[in-house]
Parts: sequence; structure tokens; C-alpha cells
Amino acid sequence: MHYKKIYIRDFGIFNNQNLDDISNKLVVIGGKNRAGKSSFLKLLRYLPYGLPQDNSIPPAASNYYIEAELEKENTSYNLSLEGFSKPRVLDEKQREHSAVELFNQLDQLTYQHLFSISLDELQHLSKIAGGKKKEKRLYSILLGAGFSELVRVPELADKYYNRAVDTGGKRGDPSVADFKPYYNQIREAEDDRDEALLEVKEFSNKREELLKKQSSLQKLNEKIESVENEYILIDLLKNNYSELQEIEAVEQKLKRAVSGISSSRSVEPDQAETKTENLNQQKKLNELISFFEQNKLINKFKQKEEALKERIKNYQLQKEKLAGVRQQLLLELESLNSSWEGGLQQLNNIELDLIKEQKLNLKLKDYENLNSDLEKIESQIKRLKNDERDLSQELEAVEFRKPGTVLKQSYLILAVSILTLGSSFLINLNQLRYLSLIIALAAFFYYSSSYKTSQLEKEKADKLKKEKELKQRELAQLEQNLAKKTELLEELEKELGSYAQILGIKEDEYRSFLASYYREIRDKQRRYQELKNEEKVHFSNKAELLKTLQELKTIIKNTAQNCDLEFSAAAEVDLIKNQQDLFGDFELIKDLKALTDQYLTKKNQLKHTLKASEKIKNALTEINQEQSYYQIFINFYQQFPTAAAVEAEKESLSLELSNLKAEKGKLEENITTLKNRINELSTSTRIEKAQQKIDLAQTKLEKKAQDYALNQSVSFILKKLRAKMIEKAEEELLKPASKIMKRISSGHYSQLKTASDLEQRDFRIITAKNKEEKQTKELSQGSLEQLFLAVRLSRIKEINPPLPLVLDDSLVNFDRSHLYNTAELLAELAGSHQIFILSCHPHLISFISRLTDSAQYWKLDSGRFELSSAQQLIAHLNN
Amino acid sequence: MSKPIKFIHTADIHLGRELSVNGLNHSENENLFRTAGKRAFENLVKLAVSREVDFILIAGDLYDREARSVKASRFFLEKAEELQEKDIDLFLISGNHDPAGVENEIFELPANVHYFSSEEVETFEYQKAGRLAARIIGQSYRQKFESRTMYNYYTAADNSVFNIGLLHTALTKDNSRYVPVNKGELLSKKEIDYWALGHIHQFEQLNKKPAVYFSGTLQAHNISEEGQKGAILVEVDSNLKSIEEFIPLAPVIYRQLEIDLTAEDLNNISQLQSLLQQRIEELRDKINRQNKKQEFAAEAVIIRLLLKGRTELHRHVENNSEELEETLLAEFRRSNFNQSPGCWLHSIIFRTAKSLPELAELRNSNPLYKNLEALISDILAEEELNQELLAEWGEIWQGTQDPEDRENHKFYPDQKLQQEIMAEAKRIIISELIEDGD
Repeated sequence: MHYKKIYIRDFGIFNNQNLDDISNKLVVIGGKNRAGKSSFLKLLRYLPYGLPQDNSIPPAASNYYIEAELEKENTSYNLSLEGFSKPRVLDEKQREHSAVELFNQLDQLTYQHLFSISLDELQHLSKIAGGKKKEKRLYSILLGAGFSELVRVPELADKYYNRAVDTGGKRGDPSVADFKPYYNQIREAEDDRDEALLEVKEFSNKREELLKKQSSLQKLNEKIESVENEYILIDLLKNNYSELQEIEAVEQKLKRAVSGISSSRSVEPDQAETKTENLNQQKKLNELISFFEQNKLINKFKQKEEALKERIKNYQLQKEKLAGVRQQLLLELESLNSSWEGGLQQLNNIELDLIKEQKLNLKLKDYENLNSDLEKIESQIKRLKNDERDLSQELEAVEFRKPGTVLKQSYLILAVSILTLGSSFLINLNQLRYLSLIIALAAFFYYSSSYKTSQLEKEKADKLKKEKELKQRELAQLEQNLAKKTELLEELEKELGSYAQILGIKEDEYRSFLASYYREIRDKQRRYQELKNEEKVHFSNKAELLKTLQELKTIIKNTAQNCDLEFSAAAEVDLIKNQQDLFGDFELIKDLKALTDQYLTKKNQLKHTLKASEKIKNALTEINQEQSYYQIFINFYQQFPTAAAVEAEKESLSLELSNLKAEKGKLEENITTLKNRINELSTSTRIEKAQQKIDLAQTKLEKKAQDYALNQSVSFILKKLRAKMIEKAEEELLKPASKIMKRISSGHYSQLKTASDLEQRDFRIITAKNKEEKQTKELSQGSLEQLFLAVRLSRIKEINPPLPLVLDDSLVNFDRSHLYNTAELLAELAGSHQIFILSCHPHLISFISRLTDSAQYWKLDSGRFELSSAQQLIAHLNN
Repeated sequence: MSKPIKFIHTADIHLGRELSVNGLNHSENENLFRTAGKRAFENLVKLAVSREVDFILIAGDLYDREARSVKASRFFLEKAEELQEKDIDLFLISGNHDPAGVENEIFELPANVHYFSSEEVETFEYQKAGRLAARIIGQSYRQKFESRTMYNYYTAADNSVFNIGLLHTALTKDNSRYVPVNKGELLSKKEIDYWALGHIHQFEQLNKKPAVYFSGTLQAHNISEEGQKGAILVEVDSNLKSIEEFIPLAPVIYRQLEIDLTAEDLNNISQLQSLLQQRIEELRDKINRQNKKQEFAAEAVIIRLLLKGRTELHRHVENNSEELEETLLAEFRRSNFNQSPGCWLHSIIFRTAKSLPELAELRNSNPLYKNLEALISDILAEEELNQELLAEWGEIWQGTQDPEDRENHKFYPDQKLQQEIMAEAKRIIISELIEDGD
């Protein structure tokens, strides 16, 4: 590619300048200082990319305007640049193209540095090794295959590396920088999780422990139960100890009754014997007890005993009484009849039934009546005779007394009274008055009574005469009646005599007591009969009584068989007589029975107590399942010689129990704690929580790690990219550059290298002679410029298709021979590249003219271009 | 002629392991995620019961080493009892996560649970209707790492019945941790009809006949375990021919949604949100369609969004990605869970860069670009260079490849991630060098 024409309408010093038919080889533009060389360099530099708005370019007169005709691969392009806009490129067919396209897509910086390097810029090269960033860029441009971007690589790499370091430190250690909080969270959660993982083990252990504790508790409970049982028993024993003692005493008593000998034994028998004996004794005792239990008669007798005794007493009383009655009866008979013979038996021989009491009494009454009638009649007769005589006397008395006499006597009395009254007025007035009154009254009474009577007596005398006649007739009748009755009386006396004979009365004057005798006999006969009846009952009572006593005796005898006590068991014959003995024996039995009952009652009470509570029963069963509760308890009792021992044992058990219960409480608490923990463990969500925490932190950490990886990668890739570029540069760029350098330096320097340490961003140059290696800072300005020219040329040669090169007096510091060598090189390069050489040095132009004929020479003076020749130009510059 | 049998092959259940959801305060869905592992197992039991299988094989890692809890053990006990009631046996080996399994069981397990010894290879003879119907050969891990090549001793007496090898292995020769053995060696054991493998969490058919399978896990636990998880139902006929069917059982699945924003004309976050919502809806529809074909539906999906590409939006993302992620997460979590399937946004990864319109041109013309691409592909491909890069990535990226061995605070740079990071690095470098170059 090359410029064919350049038209500069407005750019700095240039105004309407035309460069036509520009050579496509070497174009030498000579001009003195301030002629516009630098402006032209800048023009060419920015033409493909547009002008910068940063005062680095010369100002326009009004508005920048440049046109250029370019040829690339036999195609012409028209480029126009106006103001600060991008250049506009049209091909021959007026198709639009980009300028960059024409310039091999080369970026602006690379193009500018490689193809349009200025003297100033080259002069700055010496500072490259000093480390300023701007200069480093140039170095990179020189090195890179046109990659201006690489200039920023170290910086960018640093930037991303630093970012990475901020995130995760230099080594990406998870425990530092931004990683750290998440790392710590993970670690914490892991610790938590690890602890939680132990929970499974703990769960197993705790469960095992729980099982052990539960079995301990069970054992402890059993132990407590056993001790409690024992305690119940001991408590029971304590409360019943005296009772048991009594039972024992009673039992001993009974045993003694059963076998009197054993208790009185003085010599201690050997054990076996005692045992047998005890057994026998026990057996006998049991038999006795069972006998008593079965024999109800004893109770019956016990109940009837008093009645029986009463009966016996009654019997005896009755017996005496009956004998007394018999005696009395006999005595009475004898006193009734002194001539009584044949005892009471005779009484029965009197045929009393032959005599009817009523008849007898009737006859006796008749007899008496007759007698009294006779007397009565006799006395009537007598009285009648008297009456007759009286009547005769009376008649005589009645004629004497008359009524007139009476009246006269009355008047007399009255007179006396009046007299008296009169006298009263004279003497004692009052007393005499009363006396006169009384006398007057007496006179009245006398008159009233006596006068009437005298009147009646006249009538009565008449009646008496009649009565005297009547009595005489009656007297005759009575005498007749008397005779008749006397006859009847004799008959009756005869009948009563036969009755007396029946009754055995020997006396003659029987009639007076016949009736009473009869009654006596009849009474005796009845009493005797009664006696006999009573005696009969009495005997039957006796028989019954005997029978009962016989039974009692049998009981005693039977009892005696069951015990060794002495019983007299009253003689067979006369139980009633020996009843004292018999009851004495029964008393013994009763005592024994009472004892037995007491024994049994106490025993039963105790048995009942033992059965009353399930707890007690369990407690007893625990000791022995074979024996009865009672027997177990007795055995238990026998372990304690005294109540004090029981008390001591009770206290000891109580203490033990409270200790055990305390232990139990502790154990239960333990178990509860364990259970709670087990429950807690089996529902623990610690692991889940820890996992979630890890997950959360991990997700965040992963992002950070990715950030870290990304930044590190960017940095890594950049460094690698750069290294690769440098490697490539050494291979593709520095080798040809070495050749160029060797040629420029006439063989003084043989090789160019990049610094081994990339960070130094430096070249090494090696001399041909002694293979000495030099750093750029050790080089002279000329050598340094040669070096970079060599590198540039090498780079430029590499870029295809070739682009126009602009050199602005860059060769000024070369010594002549080196300058010549350089000119020679440029002349050769001009075969393929269009090269603009801007110079104010006539000797350079002179060299070029010597080296090539094909160079085109332009004179630049005050912004005006003029096609010229070498000679003219040399002359102009030497001017 | 042998009795036909039916069994399920599963592994790597990791009971007790929590799902990675990247968020503690998700009370409404906490239960769904927390119980996912259990429900996957319950689905397994349901499947076993409904298909009337004879037994279930668990090829190791029933429990998770880092999540071993009493609850987990109790849960297994309950399920084992349930299976016992249905007369379904359980044959299990312990893996690297639950070595010496039976010794570590805290509960006494019912009689239908058969743990293989960790000391020697054991053969259980499965009887059906009084006749030998299958042999199951296996050995448990003794410790966390198992270098014994146990498979050598997996020898069946004859070929008269279906012989099953139960093995927990990474199926690589070059490790001494998870039974160093390769597929070829397994296939050399001619009597084995079915290799029920465990350790790899992804279902994989390695060979057709004899069948060699990784069942994968029942329920994925993190974003690296994408896609359907389940168990293999195997039906063996009387001629010992087997048909295997993978049956998805996991109630929760993980999905990474990669969205390239380059082609999308996005100018603000609202537009981004609606784009994301649209993609999530699409995913939801897809899962719903899939669910219709499945016996056990996926109830929820946990999504990681990977946003990449060059976009104008990058200016919102740059220097602000954490905040932006939080905002987007909060927004999406709030609005997307109560639908079916529930969608839970796990996280959002931004790998975006500035938009670069002249990219295509650059790619063609700029030697730097070409060099850069060549370098990156070299870095990814060349072992030495790759190692160099990973060294730069630092300790935090030096986690072991096997996620089961990896420390929680370290990560493993798998190829995919490296590619992603490299791509993003490239975008950054291009932006920095070319775009900003002057």
C-alpha cells in the first residue's frame, strides 16, 4: 500500500498543498527546522484514524481537510479527512471502506509507533529501562506483532491480580481475605456438625446407660419392696408382739395340759428326743384343740351348766319336800283319827264314793231342822200361853185411863206459867218472863200428846178381847204338829249311824263332826293322790338328770383321753351325789376349753390380721410360699427374742428403707435426665442446621472462589499472552532485527534478545567480538537508536501487505558509517515499502542519492512542498 | 428354569443429608426441602410395595457421614419395618459414608434387613417359595476409604439363578479410596448377571448384558446433582433375562438454567426479570409435562441461574452483582414457590460482559483475539498449562474431584467450570484490551 497523492487543504502550516505522483519507494522530504516536517509526520500518523482533539497536532486555519489517494493491491482508494471525523474511504467504484481496513486493521497506536516514529519518541527510548509506563508501551509496540493492546497487559494483569488478592490473598487460601468470613462460618458449622454427629454415639451410650439404670432401678425397687415387706412384718410384729407372747403362753399352758411331764422335766433331753417329743406334744395339742373344736357338747353343757345345777338343786329340794308332805299327811291322819291304822295306804281303802256329800249334808240339815222345829214349836206353845195371860192383864189396864183427866192437868200447868210470868215483872224482870214462857209451852205439849192417847185406848181394849180367842185356837194346832216331827227325827238318826260306820268312826257322838270328818278324809285322799303324782314326776326328773350327767361324764372321760390332766370322773353309781366332783372335772375342761378358745381366738385374730392386707400377705409369701401366713409369721416372730430386738430391727429397717428410697429418688432423677436427653437427641436438628449453615456459607464462598478464579485467570491469561507474544517476538522479530542490527553496526553487535526477566521490559544486545551482553541503558544513544530502528524495521517488514513508513530524522545520532549502512537498508526496504524520510541533514540525502536512483526528493519550506532533486535539496539544506 | 424375581436397585441415599437451598429463612417450603430425602425413600417403599418386588438392594451410602443422626436411623428402622410387613427384604452394603454399617446401626433392625459383612465377601441366597431364586454377593466398606479390590471374590456357585453383585465403587482403576476396579474387570466375573453399583450419584447404564448400573442417588442434595433422581426397577424372568427401568422418585430436582443474554435486547433489570420469569415458566411447563409421565412427580425444582453473554445490562451487574443477586433471589423466591412444581431459586451466577458490537469483526481481524482464543484453548487442553492455571486459582480450588471427599471450604474446578471461567476471562480481556485500547 502506498500513497499516490496527498492533498492538504488545511492542516497546521499546510494550506492547499498537493503532493502528486508520490513515489511508491523512497520519498525524501528535506526541510529545515520549522519547515513543517513534524506537522507532516503527524498528518501521516493520524490520517488513517482521524485527528485527535488534544492539542498534540498543529491547529487548522479554519477546518482540517486532507485528501489522499492510496493504492493497495492495484486498487485505488480515495481517503478524505475533514475536521475531527473519521477518514472517509471510497474505492474506485465509490464503495465505502474503512481506513483501518486499508492499514491492515492495525491499531492506531501500533501504526503510529511503528510506522511514524519521531525523533523525540526515539529519544525517549533510553528511558524505557527507567520504568515509566508510557515508555513501556512503546517497547511493547516494538515487540508485539503490532498488538498495541499488549502494552496494557502488565497493568491489567496487575489490576486483576490485585483484585484476586483482595478476594483471596496471594495463594487463594480459603481462610483469608474475603473468603475468611465464609470459611469461618463453614468451620464453625462443621464443628457444630461434628459435635452433633457425636450425638448418635451419645444416643447409643445414653440408651445403654438408661437400660442399666432402669435395671438398677428395678433391682432397687425389688429391694425396697422386700425391705418394705420386712418393715411391714416387723411393724406388724411390733404391734402384735405382746399378743404373740400371750399366744405362746397360752400355747405353753395348753401344752402343759396335754403333757404335764415335759414342762416339769429337770433334765434337758437331747435335741432329737425333744424334737420328737415336741412333735408328739404338738400333735396331741392339735388333737385336743381339734377335739374341742369339734365337740359342741361342751359348749352346750357350758351353757346349760347353771340350769343343770339348778335342776339338781331343785330335784333335791323336791325330794325333801315330798318326804315332808308324806309325813305331814300321815300325822294329820293320826291326829284326825287316833285309832288310824295302816298308814296312808289305808286312806285309799275308805270308800268315800259311797257317801254323797250332798245327801249327807241334806240329812244332817234335815236332822237339825227337825230339832229346831221341835224347839220352835215348843217355844211357840209356851209363848202362846204367855200371850193369853198377858192379854187378860191388858184388858184390865185399858179401862183406867180417860180423856177428861188429861185436860185438867193441862190447865194446871198453864196456870202455873201465868203466875210465874206475873211474878217476873216484880222481881227479876227478864228471868221470870222466860220461865213463864217455858211453862206455858210445856202446858201446851202435854195437852196435845196425852189427850189423843186416851182417846185411842178405848178402841184397843176392844181388839184385845178378839185376840185372846185367836191364840187359844193356835195353841191346839201346834201341839199336834209336835208329835209328827218327833217321829221323823228318829228315822234320820238311824241313817246317819250307817254313814259313820263307813267312815270308820268309832265314837258315838259322830253326828257333830260327821260332816267335817268326811271332808277331812276327802281332802287327805286328794292330797295323797297329789303327792303320789308329784313323786312320779320327781322320779322321771331324776332319770333325766342322770342321763344328762351321764353324758357329761362321758365328755369328761373323752376329754381325759386327750390330755394328761387328772380327772376323778365321778363314780358311776351316784352321779347326783357326786355331781360336785363331776362339775369340778367339767370346770377343768371348761378352763381348758376356755384356754383353747382363747388360744384359737388370738390365733384367729392374728390370722385375720395377717390376711387383712394384701401387703402383709405378699410380705409373708415372699418369706415362704409353702407355709401358712400364720406359721410364717410365727417363725418370723421366733427370730426375735424380745420386743426390743423387734424395735431395733424396725429402726434399722426404717433407716435402710429411707436410704434406699433416697437412692431410688436419685436414680429416678438420673433416668428422667437420661430420657430427656435421649428424647432431645432423637429429635435433634443440630445436624440439619449445621448443614444449612455450611450450605449457605459454601454457596457464598464458591462465588468468591469463582471471582478469585476469574480474576486470577484474567491475570494469568494476560501474562501468558504476553509471554507468548514475547516469545513470538524473539522468534519472529528479534532474529531479523538482529540481522539488521548487525548490518547497521557493521558487525559489532551480533544478536538482540529480550530481557530474561520480562518484568524489566528490556532488550539485551550482544557484541559479536566477545559475546558481551549489554542492557539498553549501557548503550550509547546512537546504538540505542540503531537497536530500535532495527527492531522497527524488522516489525515493519513483517507486516503484510506493506504499509508506508515515515521516518523523522530518526537517524540523526548515527555516526556516518552506521548512517550509511542504515541508508543502504532503507534503500533496500524501499523495494517493497513506500518510505517517507523527513530530514534536515544533507549528508543523509547525499548517502541516499549515492545508494539509489529511485528516490524521489521533495523540498519542504514553510509548509510548501516542491518536487526537487538530491542536489537541489542538499544545497537547500546546506544553505 | 428359575423363579422370576423383581427387585429395586438404589444407592447413595445419604439419609439425613439436607438439601442445599442457599437460604435459611424459607419457612414455607422448609418442610418440602427438609423432608425431600425422606419422601424419596418413602416413594421407594411405595414403589417396592406397588410393584410387589422381592427385595431392595442398597449399594452403599444409605447414611451420610456428615449427617448421621438418630432421626435418620430411626427413619430407616421404621421403613424397614414397613417393608418387613410386606415381606420385602433389604440387602445393603455400607459405603464410604457409612462404613461398617451394621455395627453403627443404633437400633436393632428387623430380620428383613441384611447387611453385608465388611470383613469378607458374603453371599446371601434369596429364597422364593422355598426355592433358591437369586444370589446377592456383596461386601461392606470397613472404613471411609476402601482399597480392597473386593470384586475379585465376588464368585457365584453357578449360573442357575440370577446372581447380583453389590458394590460401592468409583469404578476407576486409579484410586485407592473407592475400590479400584474398572468395568472390564467387573465384566470378567462371568457368573454375575447384574452389577448393582453405588457411589456415583448419577444414574448410568455402563453395560447392557451383563447389566452394570449406577442407580444414582434417590434425591439430589445440591446443584451439582442436576436432573431426575430415582432407582432402578429390575424384572428378571425365568430365563434370567432382565429388564431394567429407571424410575424417578425424587420429589425435588435441581436444574441449572443457562441463559445467554447476548442475543436478548435487554436494557434494564425489569426486562431481565421478565426474561428470567419466562424461562422459569418454560422449565415449569417442561417439568409438568414430565411429571405426567411419571408415577412420582417432582414437586419442586431448585434452580441455579447462570447468566452469561455480552449485554448492555452488564453495567448493572458490574460491581453490583451480589446486591443484584439478592434482589432477584428475593423477588423470584417470593413469587415462584406456590405454584406447581414449586420453583426455588438457589442462586444466580453472572458471567456477563459488556456488549461489544464489533466483536465479529475483531474475531476476524485482530491477531490478539486469535492469539487469545488459541491460548485459552491451550490452557484448557494442555495438562501442564492447565495445572499452571489451577495453581493460580489457589488452595481454595484444590478440593478433590470426588465431592464426597471434598472439604467444605474447597472446590473442584471441573472442566465445565473452567470453560465458563475461561470464557468470562476472555470476555473481560477482550473488553479491557480491545474495547478500551487507545
